[in-house]
Amino acid sequence: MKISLNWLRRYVDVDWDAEQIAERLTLSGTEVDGVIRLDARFDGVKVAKVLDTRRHPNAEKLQIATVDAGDETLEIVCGAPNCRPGLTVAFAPVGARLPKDTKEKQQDKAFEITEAEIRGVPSAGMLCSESELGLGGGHDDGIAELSSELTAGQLLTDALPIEDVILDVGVTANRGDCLSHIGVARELAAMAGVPLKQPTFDLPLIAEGPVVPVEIAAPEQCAHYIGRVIRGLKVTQSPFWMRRLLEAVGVRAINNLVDVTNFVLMELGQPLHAFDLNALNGPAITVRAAGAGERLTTLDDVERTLEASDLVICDAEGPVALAGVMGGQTSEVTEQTTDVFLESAWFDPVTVRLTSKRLGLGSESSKRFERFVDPAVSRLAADRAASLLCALSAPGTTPQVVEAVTTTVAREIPRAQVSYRPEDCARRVGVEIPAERQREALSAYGFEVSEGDAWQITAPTWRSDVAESADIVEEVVRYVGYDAIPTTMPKADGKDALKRGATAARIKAERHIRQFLAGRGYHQTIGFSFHSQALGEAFDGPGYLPLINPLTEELAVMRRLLAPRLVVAAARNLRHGARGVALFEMGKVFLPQGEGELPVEVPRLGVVLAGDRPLYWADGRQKADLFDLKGVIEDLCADLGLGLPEQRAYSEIEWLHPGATAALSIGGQDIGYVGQLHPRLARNLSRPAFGLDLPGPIWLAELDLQPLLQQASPRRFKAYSNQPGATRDLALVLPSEIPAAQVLTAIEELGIEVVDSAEIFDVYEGSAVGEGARSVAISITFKATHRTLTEEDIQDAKERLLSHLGQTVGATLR
Amino acid sequence: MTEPTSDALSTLKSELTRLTDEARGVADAVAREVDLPEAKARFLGRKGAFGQVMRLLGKLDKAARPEAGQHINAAKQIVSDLFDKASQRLEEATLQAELAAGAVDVTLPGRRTPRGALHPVQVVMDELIDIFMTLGFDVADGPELEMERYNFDLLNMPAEHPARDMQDTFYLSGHRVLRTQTSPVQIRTMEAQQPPVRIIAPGRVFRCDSDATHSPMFHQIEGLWVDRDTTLADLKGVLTAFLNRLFGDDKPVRFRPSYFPFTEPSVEVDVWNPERDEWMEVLGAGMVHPQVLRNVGYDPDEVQGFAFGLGIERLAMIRYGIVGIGHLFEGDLRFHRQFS
Repeated sequence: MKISLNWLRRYVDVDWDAEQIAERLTLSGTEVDGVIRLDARFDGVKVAKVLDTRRHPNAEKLQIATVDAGDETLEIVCGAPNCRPGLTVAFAPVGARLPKDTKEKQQDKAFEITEAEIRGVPSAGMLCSESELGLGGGHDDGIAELSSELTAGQLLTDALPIEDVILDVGVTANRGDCLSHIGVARELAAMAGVPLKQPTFDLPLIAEGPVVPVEIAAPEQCAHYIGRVIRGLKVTQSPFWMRRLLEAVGVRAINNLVDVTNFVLMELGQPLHAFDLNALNGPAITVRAAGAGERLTTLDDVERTLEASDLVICDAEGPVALAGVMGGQTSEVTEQTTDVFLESAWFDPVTVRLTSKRLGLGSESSKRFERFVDPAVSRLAADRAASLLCALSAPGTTPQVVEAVTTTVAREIPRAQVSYRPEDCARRVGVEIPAERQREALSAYGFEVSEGDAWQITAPTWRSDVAESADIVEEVVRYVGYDAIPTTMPKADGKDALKRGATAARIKAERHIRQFLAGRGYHQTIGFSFHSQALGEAFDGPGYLPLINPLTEELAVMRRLLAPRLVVAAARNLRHGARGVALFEMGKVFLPQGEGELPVEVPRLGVVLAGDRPLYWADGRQKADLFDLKGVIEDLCADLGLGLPEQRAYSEIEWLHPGATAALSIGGQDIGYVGQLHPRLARNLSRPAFGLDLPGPIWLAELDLQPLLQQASPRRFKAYSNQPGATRDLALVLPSEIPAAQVLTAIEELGIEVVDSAEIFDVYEGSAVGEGARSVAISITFKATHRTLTEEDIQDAKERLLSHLGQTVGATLR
Repeated sequence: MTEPTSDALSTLKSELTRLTDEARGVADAVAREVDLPEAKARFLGRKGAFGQVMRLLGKLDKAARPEAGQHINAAKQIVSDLFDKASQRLEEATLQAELAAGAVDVTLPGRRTPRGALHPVQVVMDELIDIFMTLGFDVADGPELEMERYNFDLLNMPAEHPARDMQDTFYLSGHRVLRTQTSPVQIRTMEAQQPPVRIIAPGRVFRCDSDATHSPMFHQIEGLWVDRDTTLADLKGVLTAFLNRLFGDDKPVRFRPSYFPFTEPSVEVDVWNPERDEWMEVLGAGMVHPQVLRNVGYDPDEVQGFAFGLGIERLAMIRYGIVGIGHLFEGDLRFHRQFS
């Protein structure tokens, strides 16, 4: 909320400047987010009196005004129709500066007044309109008409409250009372130890009695309803001071009637509503729950269909306002309104909130009712507004009278009561604050405190957020200030002070994986956990968990795979000229369960690779392929102490290439896949509906993190041999459909003692080995641990290997 | 019959001189290292020229033999040196040739493994986790997609509470929401264990909001310390220690009152930012609201403690000077490569 310092100072006398006020408020819980200076956008403009006017000899629409500018009398050419003798005006003499562009809110004073001759008549300056002074003002029919009480020759900035400082106050949800100048002034008064000055006013009350009877049929939702009838008003522009204050806090000045209700709202925090009395049927008011399906057209010209949870203000015919939220159109006050029925009531926060939320209709009024309006302020606000309406009616209208008072109280809003012991504070805060100091704090904030050791505390009427002793401690602490509290370290029992659970271990392991991948050239990305339904379904069909209120269709369903976002990111990078893309993400996917149940959240690692390998001058440009990605995954598994994952060709993932996808598992447990994005999907994603640029194959891996992290086996030292080894290369020919991994597995299975390792070093398919076969060349290292290896050992092992491979995978020596 | 000693000696000497000259010519002429042993053997080998000379020695007077022997040995030494020198010369030449062949443009790029980068948010997150673990916190985790009850109600934010407006929430059917804060992990942790509770809960959170400084998804770290007599002064101590570690001891820290439905009293914590000459809000915190403790079955007369939460993105953006929160989540290499 914007708080005007000029306005604030009406209720509290403090010596502090704007920055000090801002700091005091901030340090006691009313955060000031910004201090904005409202400076005059003009310089040297003075108050002047028009002594006389006469027609300009050469221009029909111009006048020549003789003005008293204080120390001299000057002649000014003026085109404003309202320029007339007796008027007090804003006069810009030669040398004064005015804003160049009155529309833009810039702090310029660029336009300097010089001596001028207008159609042959010299003019010693200019009589200004409000907008020419950069003061805004919607009613700009002519020059500004100032109060006749001002003295000629005074600087305008001294004469009128033009310069101000605005505090941008962030009011917390529990402190609706601070959504008003009086509320913020009350906080400031408490900090400064000075009294709060309530506004004083005269109420020209002529008659008391219910001219407009009010019935409250919903006492839970409307505790009381105060009405005031004012007759014989005339709508006009509000005085400058009121418009200036309203506009300073961001409220557009409209006319005296509307401005007064807004002024009281901003002053006291009580939302008011003004009905045109003559548009009310009866006139009689009933406050009741709406009937389901009842209709009301609100001030914003929208017809609303109501529900039973809404509270409505009705006249004899039906709803005329949505209680606490917005008035109805039929009883709206207009420029022609003369008789007003003013409402000042207390509406239940929850009721107003539900209606406002349901209709998506928030207002300054609903904002305050939702946060609890001080029930004690309604009557004051009604009288304050009635008094101002009478005082500010257009000149020439007959004295305005408040004809009737209607006060209907359905129930009292109780003040919060809290039992409290001053020592509660030390237990919670960790330092003793003397009881007397606590008492001082509470009374400064308007709490009533009983005598004795066990305090019975009554909260002030404007505080609904106080329920138990912790709340009282907070009041005390914010009064003494957080600086008064020491900084200590909490005590902890040594036996579990550094306890670390499974999550901590997981987080460390995940960090290890990320660092490994970054070390291998992959960049960590963090993608949104939601994407468009279409994108998800293009991958693996329907069944995604949707948001009810997504920000956009692009962010509408919870992801079930990491791959879609990674593919989108890869495409984005390729479009922007990246030659090679290597990205990974670690995050949860959401696997839907039953309706209303939480989905299973599975932490995953997703990796994408596309385009070229990192460029090296000696190698030339090379395309990345599946084995680049697979190699990284295999290294990662090795790095985690998992060994080589078991792998098999897998063709059942609809979004991956059926012939270029491997399923990976560790210890028989599936961990995920590495493979190529299905070319059909790639084509689909390249269509305008998705618009991705996928010029070449995209390689993807998506692994569950849990098995990667759980199965790592601890590393153990094993004695090694100094005996030299020997290497023999075997070129095997086997049927094409036998996967290479099967050959290696077969060698391992056989478990020959002297076979130390086996590595594939060449694969060949072609005429030399014939149709349906391929050659796989394997380099085998032989080693004997405790003796010297003999040629016989090697020959023997080789024969056993060949015979076994012949039987298991149909291999023959080439 | 022997030759006169002097003649024989002078013949020998001239022979030695001739041999030496010849050897010098041969040694100098050898062009390849492999030819050197053979050339050397021609003079110094068993059947070489000096062998012949040795035979001449037998024809000399016994008395002249020592002197003659000295001459021969001296000449042999000279020749041997000649071939050693030749050997060195050839070795050097070979080496030079090798060097010439091995010279490269050392300014060509090295064969590097290109570095990837951790995400800047991750870097900051990891750093915060490390600090909090040093301070004695364990790490807890909870669902990102939560029951409304855990995200709001049990945290003392009933349905009609205006504080719910503080957070624009993504809803799913069946009273499910994307958690708007990491605070529900507090509830889940306390429901599952008895005090003492000392946890941080890092993770993703979601709010229905998007502009230059707001992202619909971002990261928070939640902290919770509940024990028998953990106080507001302890909250100040732990968070001051944390902020000093993160920003440096020389950056003043400010605590000021605020409001969160699940803490009472509540505080916001600012750190002085000398570059921008202003306080920078970094943490929300407070003493766990007694109602929250009751909601998880704890007795607020027996245990109490503090909780805090902080957003990661803003810290990362300040640290790296990132403008526009959107960059963080697009996966654009032009962004990520800057952090390699």
